[in-house]
Amino acid sequence: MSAIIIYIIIGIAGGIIGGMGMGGGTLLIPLLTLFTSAEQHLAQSVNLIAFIPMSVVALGIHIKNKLVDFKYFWWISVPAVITSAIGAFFVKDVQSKVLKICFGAFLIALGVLQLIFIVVDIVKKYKKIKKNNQNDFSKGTNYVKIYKTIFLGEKYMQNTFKHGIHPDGKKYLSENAEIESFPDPQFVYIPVQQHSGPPSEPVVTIGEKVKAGQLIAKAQGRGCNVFASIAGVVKGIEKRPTATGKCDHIIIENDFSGDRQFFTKLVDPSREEIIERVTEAGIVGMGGAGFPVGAKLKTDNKIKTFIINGAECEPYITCDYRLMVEHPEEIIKGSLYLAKAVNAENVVIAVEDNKPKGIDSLNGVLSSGKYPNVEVRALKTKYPQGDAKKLIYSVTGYKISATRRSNEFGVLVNNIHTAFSVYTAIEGLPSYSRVMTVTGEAINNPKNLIVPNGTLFSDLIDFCGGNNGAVEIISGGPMTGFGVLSDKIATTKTTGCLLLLPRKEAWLDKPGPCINCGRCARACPSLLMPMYIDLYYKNGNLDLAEKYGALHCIECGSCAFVCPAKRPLVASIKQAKAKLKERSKKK
Amino acid sequence: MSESENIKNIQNSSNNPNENNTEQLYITSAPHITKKGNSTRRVMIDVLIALCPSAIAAIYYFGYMVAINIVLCCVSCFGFELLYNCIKEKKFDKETVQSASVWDLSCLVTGVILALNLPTSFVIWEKVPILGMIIADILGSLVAIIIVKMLFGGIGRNFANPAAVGRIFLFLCFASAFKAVAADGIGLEPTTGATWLSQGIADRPVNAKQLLDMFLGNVGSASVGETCVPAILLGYIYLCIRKVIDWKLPLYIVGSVAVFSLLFEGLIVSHLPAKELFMNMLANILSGGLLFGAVFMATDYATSPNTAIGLVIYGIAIGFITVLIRVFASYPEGMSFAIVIMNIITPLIDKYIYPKPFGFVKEKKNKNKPETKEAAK
Repeated sequence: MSAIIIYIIIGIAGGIIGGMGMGGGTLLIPLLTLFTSAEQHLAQSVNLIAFIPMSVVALGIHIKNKLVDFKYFWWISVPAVITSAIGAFFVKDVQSKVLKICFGAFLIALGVLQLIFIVVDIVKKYKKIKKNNQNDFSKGTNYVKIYKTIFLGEKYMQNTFKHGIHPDGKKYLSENAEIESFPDPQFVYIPVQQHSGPPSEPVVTIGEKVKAGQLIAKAQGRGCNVFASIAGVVKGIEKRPTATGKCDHIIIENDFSGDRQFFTKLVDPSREEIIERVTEAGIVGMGGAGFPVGAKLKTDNKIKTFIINGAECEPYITCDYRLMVEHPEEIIKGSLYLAKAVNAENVVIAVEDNKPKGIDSLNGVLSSGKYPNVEVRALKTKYPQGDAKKLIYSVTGYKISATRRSNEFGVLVNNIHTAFSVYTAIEGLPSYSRVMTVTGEAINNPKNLIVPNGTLFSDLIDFCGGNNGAVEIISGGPMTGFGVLSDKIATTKTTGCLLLLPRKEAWLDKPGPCINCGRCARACPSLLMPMYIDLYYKNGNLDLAEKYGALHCIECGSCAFVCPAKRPLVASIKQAKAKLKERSKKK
Repeated sequence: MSESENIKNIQNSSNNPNENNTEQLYITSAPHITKKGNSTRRVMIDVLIALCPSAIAAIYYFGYMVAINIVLCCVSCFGFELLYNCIKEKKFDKETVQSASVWDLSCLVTGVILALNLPTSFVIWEKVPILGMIIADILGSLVAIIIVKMLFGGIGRNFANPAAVGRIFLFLCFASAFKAVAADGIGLEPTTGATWLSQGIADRPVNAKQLLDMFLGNVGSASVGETCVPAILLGYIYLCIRKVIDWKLPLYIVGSVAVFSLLFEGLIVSHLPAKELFMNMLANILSGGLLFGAVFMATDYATSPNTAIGLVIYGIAIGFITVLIRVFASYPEGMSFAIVIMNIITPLIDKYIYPKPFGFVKEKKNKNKPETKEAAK
């Protein structure tokens, strides 16, 4: 009985290995001689018989998968048949022990030979790729690319990064809603700080009549111009809360005259003209960071690749996707202006592969052949694919830490909406409105809207059918956005999404103790250990928090998302970061 | 648990401007969504489900005493943790019970693993044999929950696997009572109590029939849960599918036991032919608490390293120490010792082996030197 079971187990092992075409028969022989009382002769002949059904089935499947090349069939099989007959004739006179030793020696020789071939092959490929790449990049060899090409082939080169999470996309809520124009509201409250940098200085007085597109606050230092988003009368300048803090807001009452004041259209602008216009039109990074694009373009480093970030990896948000579907030509032209401004050689528009329509729409424009330097790259759908450094890694293979600048590596990243805004700015439109997604399970009609800056969230919620039991109102996406306590908050240039979460979706659980499961470390795209940063920060040991990488955190929220104990890891890492920065300033 | 830990401030908005069909607004820090069906309790329930096949197999092979053991251990583990919570809070009301840490069910996991780590006969007092069993269960739970887990800060802060320490404590205290028991499940021939591991290393040849018995679990054993390999594998597969444990760690341990047992036994008992050495290696893997420990005990979250390289070191070291104890020490089995030793070394591994942040570049020393010199001047 037990002997039969052992035979079955041996058969299973041989079948699996043999089915892969890795010599299951060869495996059968040592298994048989080791575990059963079979002689070497017997084992080898059993192997020969077992080989027939195994190979027939495996061959059938391989032919079906088109993995078989019949070109050399006859050249191999005819001599093989003849010599195998001779071999079988001779082997019956050889002693079992001798046969065993010969068989072992044969296997070892084969293994060693195979190993040598593999090593030689890898060394050859490595040298070749290294040679090709050194001409390309001044910043040393791109090892990631080399290893991936050797071991996985070009096809698997990257298009993704390590770790990360797969949250439920929820894009279906607003994905098919076409971009609508939001009617100009009665009042707008335009914050003077809509970007990262010093707040702008208001240049209008109370009671002054302004037109849509008129400059109302002038950039200070590395700041950004702010424009009136509707035509009307300035009613006041007062401090109001924004989603992230407090700043002066310029309040304009709509007079419904519809007056506009635009720049002149630039035809075939030069490099300097583009940078000047982008700075003048007050364009900031529309992805959420709000870094002034003009300042970004004034880089001294030589830029090779300009990446347009269309990943839109956060759940719920669809504004970039709708832009891709409805305005592909404008996006491509805008990205070419951006590339021209920094003399970049090529443009890569990176889109996650869960937006096939967006990719098709962009490719449809590219297929005309007018834009040879632009490429659309489909990336794996994974959060946070849209983080600048992760995106650069996915597209080019450069590992750039969160503490370094990407332009040192000859790469710049800008959001797809920024490219669109650059195009409209060259056409003459200053940056005073943007496409926004109003979504969430707690809103009745999720929509994609063109919203003038300074519109109150309450106006948007009313326009989209009203609030249906929201427990959280979030300015931005669910992973990195900011919760707000009141819906009387104004939109800015960087507000890409207004999200209303019902009780069922929102995260209101109380945190439990850390069970040290390490899921946060396995989710962290920056390869940190969030649980230790959290632990040591709470214990007041900032040095250890820094050791485990607090300063390299990109605050994507992956760790907190996967935490089974529901610990707010990002919140404490943010605090640790702030404390560390404060400490380094003191020194 | 102190509420000061609670950074994610949940404030209520008192002046909510929207009156019509709106709920109270909350403000929380990002991220605002979390993975569905993911909680500490869910993890523990998964482990309990994975332990089910092993428990059923143990009851099948060793009789109803195993069931009594499991219930006793679970109840006492649960009770001790609840008691500890109440004593710590100095309150014994309903609220304290409701907010106690027992509801994450990790104490039940400890209880089941401890019960599956004990033999069925545990004779301390000859006249009433079952008394020894009850004492063993309660004492083991006390050590596991109170000393190893709660005194060190509760879940996630235990310095070693509670169940493993509980077992070792009982093993060392009542070494004579800790005898291997015979498997006499329903419809099976009873086998001898002496296990393969407790026989002398030089004279324990195994044949295929014995290996099969070891695989199926139909052999005498010192602890009931570890004999049935298919049941353990079922649990392993379930845990891997649910992504509760890292699937690689048990493989590291088993692989390292295979390599080292082949090496050591080959060195000591050099007259054995290769075939028997190979069979001995398989017997080494299949017998004792190796597989059960590798799947359910070594993978304990709090006491295993959190990096891939750390796990490799941890797994290989467990296998190495196990074989070392099996081959050279006077104890027949060393899995739980190996696990506890490596549990204690884990913080050291995590101290020196931690991942480099994405794109981390070591600053060149040449750059720093002139700066420090200038600063010194």
